[in-house]
Amino acid sequence: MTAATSLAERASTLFEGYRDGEPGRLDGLVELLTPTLWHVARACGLDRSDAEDVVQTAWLRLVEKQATVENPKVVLAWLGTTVRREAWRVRKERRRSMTWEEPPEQADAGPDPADAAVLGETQRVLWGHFRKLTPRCQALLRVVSRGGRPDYAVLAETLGMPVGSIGPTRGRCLAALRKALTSDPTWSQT
Amino acid sequence: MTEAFQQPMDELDEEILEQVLDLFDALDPPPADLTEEVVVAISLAALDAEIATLQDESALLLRTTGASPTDAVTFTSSAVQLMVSTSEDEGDNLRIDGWVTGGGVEVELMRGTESTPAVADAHGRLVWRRVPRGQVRFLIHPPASGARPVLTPVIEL
Repeated sequence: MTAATSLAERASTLFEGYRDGEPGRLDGLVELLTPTLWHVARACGLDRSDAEDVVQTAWLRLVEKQATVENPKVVLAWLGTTVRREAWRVRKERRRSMTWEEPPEQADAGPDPADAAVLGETQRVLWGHFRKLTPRCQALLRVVSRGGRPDYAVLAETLGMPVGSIGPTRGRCLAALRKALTSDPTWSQT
Repeated sequence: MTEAFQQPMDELDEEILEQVLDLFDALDPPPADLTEEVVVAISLAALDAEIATLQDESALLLRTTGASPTDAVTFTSSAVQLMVSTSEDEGDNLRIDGWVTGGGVEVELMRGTESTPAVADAHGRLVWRRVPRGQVRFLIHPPASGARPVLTPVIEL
């Protein structure tokens, strides 16, 4: 993906068009960013049903508060951060509504290992190493992979992680995964 | 010597991230209709509809099994009331009968992103045939000009 087609940039163009009176542009923006926002919500530990709700809430809030988003260039960051904050709120609420009889809340552990049946050989190898990363690294790489090079910093910030946790240097998370993969002879580049 | 994590990203890094992208597309993709649901939610929000209340909260699920009498649910709002009941229709589908306060009122039956409008007859009667089971809601357009549309909560058929 080149700079000209970065997620953030395409999102900014669509959002600007929408605000300038082309309501149809909003559908394009929803189509472009909803999958990424889904992965942000899931990386924040929400189960599938809560992730759906939170993504929807973030969009409704954008429509409501569109006028306060001063710079259209930040629309991706704005939505991503809204999803993360909302995800935290939902998880906190879940904890509060639990009674002592219920097991301690665990963040949704993400995909079930049994789901790996849908994976091809190379993907299975990758998944095996990916799962051994820290939850923080898994979240970072999962979300950052949705964009191209120019989006890494924005997507990392969306998760509340500092600029420089990935891109322009490799960063610790990607370095750990790369090391595991390159020392595994069963892993192949596609 | 610079440590591995401090080195600039190269093509192999990009390749690994691309594989991670594909991995999660296969392993944990968003629900197929999520994008459409968001679009519908945005357009419903834009209607500034009044949200009707369900009179009997216990009736969230309409039961339509066999010969047992069909439950009916009533939605109320400041401007209109809507009662609906279901019965078996062809195949595994349902027939929905509705009564709304006022003839000529347009009511949309909304299933996900699909909408099936019906117009009440002079007695306020409405009918939808061959409706698949699942979650539905109704959008009522009161005839008075300037009246806010009324949206019901989702019920399971």
